[in-house]
Amino acid sequence: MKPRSIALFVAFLACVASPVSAAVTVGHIENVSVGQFLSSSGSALTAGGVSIGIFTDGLGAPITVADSAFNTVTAFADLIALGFKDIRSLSGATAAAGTDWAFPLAVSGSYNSIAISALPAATQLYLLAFNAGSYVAGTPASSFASATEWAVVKDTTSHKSPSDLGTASLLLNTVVPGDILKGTDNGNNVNMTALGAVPEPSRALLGMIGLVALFVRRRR
Amino acid sequence: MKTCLALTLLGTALFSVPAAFGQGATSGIVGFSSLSCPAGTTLVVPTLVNSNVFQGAASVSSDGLTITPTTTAGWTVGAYNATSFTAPTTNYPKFYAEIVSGANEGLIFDIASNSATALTMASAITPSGIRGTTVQIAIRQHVTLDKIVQGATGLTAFVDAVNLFEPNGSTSTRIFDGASWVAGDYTTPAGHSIVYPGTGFSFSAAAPVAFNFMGEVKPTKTKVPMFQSGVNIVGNLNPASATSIYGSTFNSALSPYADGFNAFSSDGNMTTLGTYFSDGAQMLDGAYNPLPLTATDSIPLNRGVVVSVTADAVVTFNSPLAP
Repeated sequence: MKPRSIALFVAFLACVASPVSAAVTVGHIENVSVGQFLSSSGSALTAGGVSIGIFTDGLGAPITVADSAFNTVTAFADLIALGFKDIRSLSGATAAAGTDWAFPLAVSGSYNSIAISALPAATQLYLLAFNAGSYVAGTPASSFASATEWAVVKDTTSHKSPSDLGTASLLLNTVVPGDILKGTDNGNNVNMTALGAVPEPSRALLGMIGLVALFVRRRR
Repeated sequence: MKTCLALTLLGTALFSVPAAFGQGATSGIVGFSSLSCPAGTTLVVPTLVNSNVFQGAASVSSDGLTITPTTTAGWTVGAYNATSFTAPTTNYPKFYAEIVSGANEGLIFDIASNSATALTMASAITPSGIRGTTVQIAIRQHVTLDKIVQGATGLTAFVDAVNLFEPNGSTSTRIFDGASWVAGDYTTPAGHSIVYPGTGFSFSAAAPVAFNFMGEVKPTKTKVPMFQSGVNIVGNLNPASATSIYGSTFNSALSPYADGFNAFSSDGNMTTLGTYFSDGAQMLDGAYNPLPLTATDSIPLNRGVVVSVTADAVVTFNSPLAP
């Protein structure tokens, strides 16, 4: 048998013993030592919950989303429209017994068996929190309805999806101010900010509006 | 498929390991440990090591590159040299020196070469505090893939394979060729690939395979390095029983809440059985709740877990002979 034929033959045989689909685990916990999400006033949250996810294209491949995209978000549905996928919706994701990512504390738990094909290694994970509602698996666009505050953390150092067979535990005490896309740094904690706040007009614009109004009134 | 295990421990009086190299070899408890692997993929961590070929006091040079026995060893020059294959075959150290007592018991260092009186190390010994001191060492030959398949049955040539996960995050695939192992190109010899104490590999088989690991019950602690950039398959070198996760030494080795490990099934499907973390003092389950005393979670015999660490770390396992 010619060498090339041998190579093709053994490559075919190799498919017989190819390893099963690998899986990874993503976890999150909040407490006084590793940090927690708080309301905009720094109070403990009594409702809402956490979402950890990635941005993907229509085929499920991870994509990069500009940080500025979060400025136009007024509801979780807007995130979905941008391609956000909570890891709970990824292939294979299975909650460890006792996992609870809803406020009030304790917020702790992990999702294992996530297919590596759905969450490739080193994909940027986003850690979000909302002050009302909950994640709705069947209709994710309706998740965290009625939330008025939120926080978005993009820790580019410590919040990346794990290698094959590995685990990633997303903590808030690894976060630096520059990682907080929405919210404010509060030591180990992250305070939320208003969800979908409309930017206040500048003084100059207000002044011009006032002058126009005065001009129109005088003409009348 | 159920795992069928058998361990035979042979008494030191009848089966002491003779001094095969130089002087100062000591005997230990030798035997074999069997492991059945079903078709599919499973994690394997061999629990026996090669008997030592030398043991005694030695001084470590100030630069950490030389170890010299305090009593002239009279070694055969080159007996402990690393392999010297020509490219593209990868070379590996064949022997290592292990510190067998004191605070650094269990640390191992690859040997590059030896003269009649001294060892030249593959890299400077760390931590640096060991340099310039005198320590008790043992020299052992590395366990290799060729060693692991001695006495194995059921292997399928050019189909069965292992993945060795390197500290830098890369993966080395080794394919069984009927007698030894070759690299992923199906040509380059790789049977001398090392399996460090306390570490393992993923093994994929087309049909059930029975391993019969042969060697010595490690009489000393095992310090297993875990790398932030790597996939760390880690297991305890206890050839007689599974290792309970509750109370394991992972509890102090893992960064609290940040590091963790996954345990996978041994049925060939690599189903995630559980995820575990630590709070610095006790082991936690996948929900970050402390494992109770009655928890039955364990690492099976000759198996391992996959550890993810946020920074390079070391986990220390006690010898089953000195728990």
